[in-house]
Formats: sequence, C-alpha cells, structure tokens
Amino acid sequence: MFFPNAEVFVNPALLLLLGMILGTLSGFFGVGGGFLITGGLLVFGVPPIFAVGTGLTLIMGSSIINTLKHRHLGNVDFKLGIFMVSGTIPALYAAERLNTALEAAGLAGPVIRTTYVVFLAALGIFIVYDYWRTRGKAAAGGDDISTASLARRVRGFRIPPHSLIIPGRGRVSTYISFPVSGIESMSMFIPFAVGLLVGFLAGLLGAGGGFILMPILIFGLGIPTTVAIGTDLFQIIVTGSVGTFLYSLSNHVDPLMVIIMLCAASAGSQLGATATKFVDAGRIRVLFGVTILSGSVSMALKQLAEGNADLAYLSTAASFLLLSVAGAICLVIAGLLINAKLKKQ
Amino acid sequence: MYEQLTEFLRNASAGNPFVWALMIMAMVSITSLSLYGFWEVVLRLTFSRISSSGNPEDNAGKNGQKNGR
Repeated sequence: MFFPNAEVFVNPALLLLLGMILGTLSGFFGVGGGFLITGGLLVFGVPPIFAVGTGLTLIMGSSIINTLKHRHLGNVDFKLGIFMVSGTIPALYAAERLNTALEAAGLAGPVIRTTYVVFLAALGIFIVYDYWRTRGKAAAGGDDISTASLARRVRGFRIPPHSLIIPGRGRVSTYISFPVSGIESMSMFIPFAVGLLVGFLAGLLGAGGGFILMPILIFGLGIPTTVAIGTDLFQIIVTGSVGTFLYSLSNHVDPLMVIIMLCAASAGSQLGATATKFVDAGRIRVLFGVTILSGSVSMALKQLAEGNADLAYLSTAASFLLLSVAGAICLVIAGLLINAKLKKQ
Repeated sequence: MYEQLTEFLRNASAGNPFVWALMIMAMVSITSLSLYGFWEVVLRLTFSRISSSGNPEDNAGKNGQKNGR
C-alpha cells in the first residue's frame, strides 16, 4: 500500500502488527513506546524523520485510548498528572533549545544515543535487581519495593514556600494530598520538579518520557504500580501532543499510517490495560525492566553501526531484536492474563 | 476512493501548515475516542453474553419462568 505523505510503500499487515504490539505494551507498562515504534517503522522502510513524526502521533492516540481505559480501572491520578505536566511543558522547550545547540555543534547524535543507552541500561538493571531483591517480601507483607523508605523520605520533603497567597482565597498551603496515589500530604513542588526532569530528558532524547517517569513514580515517590502506569499515560498525552504538533507543522507525519496502526493499537490497549488488573505488580515491573534492557542493547547496536559501513547490518539487527522482544513480551502478557483469569475461575 | 483520499491528503498537507497540524491532532483525537468507545461497547456486550450463558442456574430459572408463562 502506498502512503502519500511519507511517499513509501508499506505492507499494512506489518503496520497492524506493530500497532498491536505498541498498544499492548503501552497499556501494560504505561509507556509511549517511542523507541519501539521508530525502530519498527525504520525497518519497514519509512524515512527517519517520518518514522519519528508518525510514531509520536501514534503515541498520542494510543495514550488517549490507554488513559481512558486506565481511568475506567481507577488508575489515573489526574491531580498529580496536572502538577507534573505544568513542569513538563517548559522543560520540553528548554530541552529543544539544548538539542538545537548540540545539533549546531555536531554533538546531538552521539550525546543522545549515549544518554539513551546509559539511561535504559541503568533503569533496566535496577528494576530487574529490585524484583529479585523484593520478590519474597511482598508476599510476607513487607514493602513491595526496595526503595520504600527513600520514597517515604522524598514524599516528606519540606520545600519552601510552605504557603502561597492566592487572590480571593487567601493563604493556601503548598502541601497537597493525592488520594488516588495514596499520598496524604506532599509538597506540590515535588511533582512539578519530577515533571521538569522528565520533560527535559524526554525533550533531549526525543521520546515521550514514559520509561523515565514510570520508575520515578514507583521507586522515587512510592506510588502503586498500576496508578503510576495510568498517570504516566496521562502525562504522555501532553508530550505526544506537543511532538505531534511540531512534526505536523513541518509535514513529517503520515496520517493514513497512524490511523491503520491506531486501529490495531486500540485492540492491544484492551489486552494490556486489562492485564494490569490481574497480573502481580512485581511481574509488571520485571517485564518492563526486561523490555527497556532490550531497548538499551538495541540502541547500543545502533551506536556501533553509526559511522561504520561494515557494521551497517547491526542497525537492522537492533530493530529486529527490539521487535522480537516486544512481540515475545506481548505473548507473555496474554499468557499471564489467561492464567490469572483461569486461576480466578 | 483510495485515489480521492490520497489526493485529499496531498492537497491538505500542501496548504497552511498550522491548519494541517490542527487537522491531524483533531483527527487522531476523534479516532482514538471512537476506537475507545467501540471497544468498550464490544467488550461490554461480550462479557454480558458470557455471564448470561455461563450461569446455568440463572438460565434454568429464566427457562422455568418462560415455560411457566
């Protein structure tokens, strides 16, 4: 099938498969899946700039569907999400300025790829390690994550000013409760700072930021895994929308491709989001860790292939590796869901 | 139909970039909301059918009522 905006022929069945994988992983992990979708579209022969623009547009659509689904399951903390988004937007702009400066200095490619590899590897290793360390504790009634005491300390940070004067409402405390996340009182500057950090890294790496935000919410703030997933998706709608708008302005989005993939992603979302209700939180986290570790290996292979004509095949191998792992994880999710349902019956 | 769609997409993307960007965002949002609604209806219908056919006692009761009438 010919796609008029990207000016490329792509088999729609492959796009449906990619959309299905993305929807499932996005609904299950609460990430946009930018690293997966861009790699997949590149393998299908879509020009790089269109792969990024079309991918971001799909992430926006898929996040809308997944956020609605998770809201239905009671997993979205909109209050927390709005405070984070207020930090994300200015940070995205600052990162875009830094990216332009790095681009001008010819450093953008290596800096972005190296940061990506280091970040994904560190997060993946930590999440898998945390699972091995705490897997017996949750069953024994202990803390579900190894950083529970750190999360309690972070939530208890006293950050001045402790109150603000708002016209018409007088003096208002800056410490707010987030009942959906199970937080009684936390300074509003903490989610704002998290939004700043995630927005900056997301803007710098050209991603939605879900893979950074989800571990921060779980391990840094001690938010339940399912609520972290839902709230993360809400935040990705914003970053995805900004990206979609910018890439559409420069005409680097193929809407036909997005609609085809979105149809399949909506079906995958049902599977992924529903599975979070039945699958143990520790398993969700360890599968997420494995996925981002494969993302790190894939990015490292691409970095090796860059600038070395003899190793150019490594770039395609990297995308195939990532797609294979993602496909396998989708099958595992489907298996876990079926198993949990059978046990319940 | 496909040719007309291709022509429309080419012409629209060649026009005002701001309008094109807004059009893409609106199209993706509307499609997402419609797909969410579609799957909600499909899943609700499926689960209501499974639950009504999966409870033999209820079905026996319903059949008994029907026969009684």
